[in-house]
Amino acid sequence: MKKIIALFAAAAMSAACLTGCVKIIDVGTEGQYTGEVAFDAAADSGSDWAQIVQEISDSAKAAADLTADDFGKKVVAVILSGEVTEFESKANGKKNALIVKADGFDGAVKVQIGSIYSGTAIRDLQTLKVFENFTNQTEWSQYAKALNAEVDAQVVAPLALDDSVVGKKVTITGAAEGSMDELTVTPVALTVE
Amino acid sequence: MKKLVVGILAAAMVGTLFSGSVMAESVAEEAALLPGGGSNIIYIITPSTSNPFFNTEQVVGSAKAEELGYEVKCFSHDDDAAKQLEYFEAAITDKAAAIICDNAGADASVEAVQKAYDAGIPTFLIDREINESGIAISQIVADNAQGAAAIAECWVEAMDYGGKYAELLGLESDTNCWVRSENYHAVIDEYEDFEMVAQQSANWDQTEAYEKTEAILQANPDLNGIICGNDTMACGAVQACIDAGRDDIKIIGLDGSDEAANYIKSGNLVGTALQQIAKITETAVEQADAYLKGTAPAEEKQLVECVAITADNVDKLSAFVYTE
Repeated sequence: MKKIIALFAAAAMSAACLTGCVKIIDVGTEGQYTGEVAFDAAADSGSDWAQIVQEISDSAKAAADLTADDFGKKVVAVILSGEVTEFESKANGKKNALIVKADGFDGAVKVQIGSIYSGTAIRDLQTLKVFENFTNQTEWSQYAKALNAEVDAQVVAPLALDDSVVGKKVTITGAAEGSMDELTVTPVALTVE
Repeated sequence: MKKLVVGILAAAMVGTLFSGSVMAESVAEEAALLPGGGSNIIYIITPSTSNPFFNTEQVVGSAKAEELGYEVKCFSHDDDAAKQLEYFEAAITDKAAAIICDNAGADASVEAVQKAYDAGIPTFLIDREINESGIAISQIVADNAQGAAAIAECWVEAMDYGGKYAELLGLESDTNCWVRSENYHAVIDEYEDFEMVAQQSANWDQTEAYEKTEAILQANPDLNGIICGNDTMACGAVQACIDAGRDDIKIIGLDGSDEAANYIKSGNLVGTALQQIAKITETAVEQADAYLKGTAPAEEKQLVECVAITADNVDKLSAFVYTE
């Protein structure tokens, strides 16, 4: 009887010792077990985009109501309408902008229309994600860039803008930086009448 | 015998059941604030103050801490982790209230910060992160990625969106070397008319940057621009270009030093990105004070934005402080 008990005890101990040691994880599938997945800025920005557009649209202030105090924060959500006075094109047509005379706002307004966008205005304005959600500065930076790519893909590219837009009325919602004298807007919504 | 086996099994089961609650308790303990060593002394430990950037940390940190009523002791670890550990141990012996530290290595500094943590002394890291979360109260660093991208955008414009350029990298084992380089390229590489003709490390060093630039200029007489991982190297590159009669070369750096500011004013440097180290240090001291009074910062890892400095706003920069 003692031998049987000892045998059972040994078997139980062996099983206990081996638990967790014998699972073979195939190379490349570690993430399924550790929860660690390769960072994909585009996947993050794609799934966040609709919410970010909503947030910026909901909080947008009419350009006519902007005051110098609004620029205490680095970026401000803004909505404006006005006439396009110039189609600015640089870097072999890769860095384009609309210069707009906005209704009710005296300063110059430049609207980035890509395909290359400067800055991190959209990322800095949204509150869905914070730096702590990312592993490091580079990922946080890549997220900003991926959001700018969403601007191009979702908002600007479908409009196929060219210099024929000059003289037309546009309505723009976006993230604005600058001052009461000069505003640079990265759009999350853009319509041309 | 049966009883013994049953007893062992029961003990094992009870042990398993309890391990969860023990863990929950230790997490709760971790969430409690560290008391500080008991004295009113704040230790400020930084790299060598012969570099004005680190000197600013000690000067600004001391002024802020003294203003808040603390006694201050400053030390330089000279980027030697062993020396840094000695200063942390001295702080523990001294029953320091808190430690402000620009550390001597992301991995090498973990031991020192952990020792302070175990002694109940909160550490507030500035400028450089460590590869461990949960043992420092704050890790407040400049957003190098954003700063590099911001000044690269100014440079791309100054280069009129194309041209041949060289890159001087920092110390290749340093994280910031690659964060800065990657984010320069994240901007520049989008434009097809740029061609990088040389990429060499000058190890953050001015003399090495001068020599590397001299050689690069000789090999590439049609060079238009140089991007540098820090201001020290940028200043070396500027001097080499001036000496070679090539003051047309568009150069950028990153740090926001007064020497770089002078070259921006003279038109020899397109710009730099200011790491707001005075602001970072003041924030760390304020957070240490608030922490010792019972309020922990909302987040451990905190990024402070860099400011792109060009001829347009260089007058607002002095001693690593940007005044609007």
